[in-house]
Amino acid sequence: MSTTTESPGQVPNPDTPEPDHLAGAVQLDPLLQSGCFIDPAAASDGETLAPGDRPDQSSNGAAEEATPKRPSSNGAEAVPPTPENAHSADDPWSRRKTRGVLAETPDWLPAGWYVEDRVRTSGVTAGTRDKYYCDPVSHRVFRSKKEVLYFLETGLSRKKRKMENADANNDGGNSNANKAQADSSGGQKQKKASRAPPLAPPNFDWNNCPEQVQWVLKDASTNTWIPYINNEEVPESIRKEWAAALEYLKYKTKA
Amino acid sequence: MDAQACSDNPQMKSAIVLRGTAKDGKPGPPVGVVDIGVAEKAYLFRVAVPGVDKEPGKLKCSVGADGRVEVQGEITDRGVLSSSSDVYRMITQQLTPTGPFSVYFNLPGRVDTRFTLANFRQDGILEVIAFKK
Repeated sequence: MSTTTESPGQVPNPDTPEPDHLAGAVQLDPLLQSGCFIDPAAASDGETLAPGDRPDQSSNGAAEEATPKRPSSNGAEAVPPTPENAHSADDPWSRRKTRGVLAETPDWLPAGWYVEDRVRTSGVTAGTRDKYYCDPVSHRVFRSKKEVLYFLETGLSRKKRKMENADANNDGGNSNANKAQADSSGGQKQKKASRAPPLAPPNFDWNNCPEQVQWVLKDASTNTWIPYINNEEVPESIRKEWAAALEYLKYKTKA
Repeated sequence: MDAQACSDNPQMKSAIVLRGTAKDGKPGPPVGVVDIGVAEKAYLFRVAVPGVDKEPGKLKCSVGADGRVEVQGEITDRGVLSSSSDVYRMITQQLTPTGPFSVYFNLPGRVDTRFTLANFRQDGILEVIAFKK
């Protein structure tokens, strides 16, 4: 599999709002880190491949679905599924239609649940396949194995967080979900990335440094200092290199 | 600490040299008081600069590879006076007078000038870590 985000445990940040819902709006994919790409031609792990994909799903304007992340479904978000709220027919989100193709259900999914396989139709990530895990009882939709397992264990949808993507991986509150996720290769990959030691900048000259550097206070409130050499500001690219080397140095000193 | 005497003797490597208003305001003000510390990988120094101008570009700290440090700044009387049109005739003058100043001193050894972590504290202490070479 290429660098897709499709395998059950590997959706990097399920808390990120889905660009998919904003059909027609062109925006960058928040699920992808820079430098990564999704190969639209790549077949996923086989179980999601189903004939008769409907690439025109976004034209089905009424079929927004009951993802817990939708602001409009916030009211029911934290409530465990009960017969009452699960079948409230007045809630348009609970009467969802199937927008994608039904895919095979993985063995960790409880009986009755189904998996939809959808292809994004707009935006720069058009062509990307997404899996949606649907609970037939509560009519909730989850974006990842992690989310499903969390829901099964706690009865809660995972809270929306205003975090950076990277931080979300480190969140201690997700330890349950992380434990479950550690079984899949995707989870371990994420962990490795978040704990990687700082790397020394390539080709950094550790032996020779400028004879004199003048550090000038640029902003006292943020404690920002800009280095100057011979009264010329050091370019930001060099400053970043210095900072990276310093991080590496500090890391090495600690170890 | 007799900084002035030290400044007259260039042979003294560890001398602290005060110039400008840091030198003039002798009696009380601690502008130019320096502490130096050593760790395995780095030096630390603290310079008292109360009343220094925090405006961008006013406070400068030069670090030489040989360990020579120069702190330059300017003492201001901004603050309450900027919103007052009254002229005050000073009866005492114990704080460092306004104007530019500089403080020189030497760290005990060579440093990598690129690895300087400066922290201007809100209490008017300039705190800098300079990594050894």
